[in-house]
Amino acid sequence: MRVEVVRENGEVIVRPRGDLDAASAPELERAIQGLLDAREVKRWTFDLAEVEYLDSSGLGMLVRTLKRLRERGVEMALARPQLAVQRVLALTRLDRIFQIQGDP
Amino acid sequence: MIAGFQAAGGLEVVGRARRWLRGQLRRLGTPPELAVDVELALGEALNNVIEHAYGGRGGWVQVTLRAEGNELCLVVRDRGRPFRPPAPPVDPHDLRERGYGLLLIHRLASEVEWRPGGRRGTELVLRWRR
Repeated sequence: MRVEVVRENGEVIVRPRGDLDAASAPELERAIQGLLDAREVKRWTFDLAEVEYLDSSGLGMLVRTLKRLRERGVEMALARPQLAVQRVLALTRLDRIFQIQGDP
Repeated sequence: MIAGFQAAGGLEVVGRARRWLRGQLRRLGTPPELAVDVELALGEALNNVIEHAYGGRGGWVQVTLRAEGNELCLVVRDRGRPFRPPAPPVDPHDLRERGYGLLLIHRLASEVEWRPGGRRGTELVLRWRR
């Protein structure tokens, strides 16, 4: 899995590419650790346009990140989820918890 | 039609098995929505085998896909610690960080059955009607 992180005017956009699964989720989580507590960050978006597959480990990572950001009053959103990702969010009903948007 | 996949290993096997399954489902002309569900269920089943049956270290797994009439059947076998999971109710507002795998397996497949697999391990049988 590859990831691109853009940081601009208090907003972080994380763009993972590939599968977000039990093998890759810990890697992504490590990659974003340093940014989670950055004071100037006010908004956080995971742009999922290039994530074709999300499993329960990827979901767990997204929930942990949401909880940690909420503690600091940072808003988090998921942008552009593909079919398989939308399906996982709907089946776990986490689509009621995450802010989901069309464009990042 | 019957097709099989087997391998020994850790989490890297999950991706390989999913790609194998994706190819088989494409060959069968499975509608994309159903193919997504079957692949997700296999991924979660194998994550579970590696984490629970093999304590995170991985081991031998076998996957069989059978398509008969309007039924698709996926069987996942392992030789690890026996596993008989309950169906976990998950309220999304709990913001749980774990437990989504089993929930997904139950919601993705039409029928789910865990049974003892021969001398050792577990056999998970998942069914879908097309």
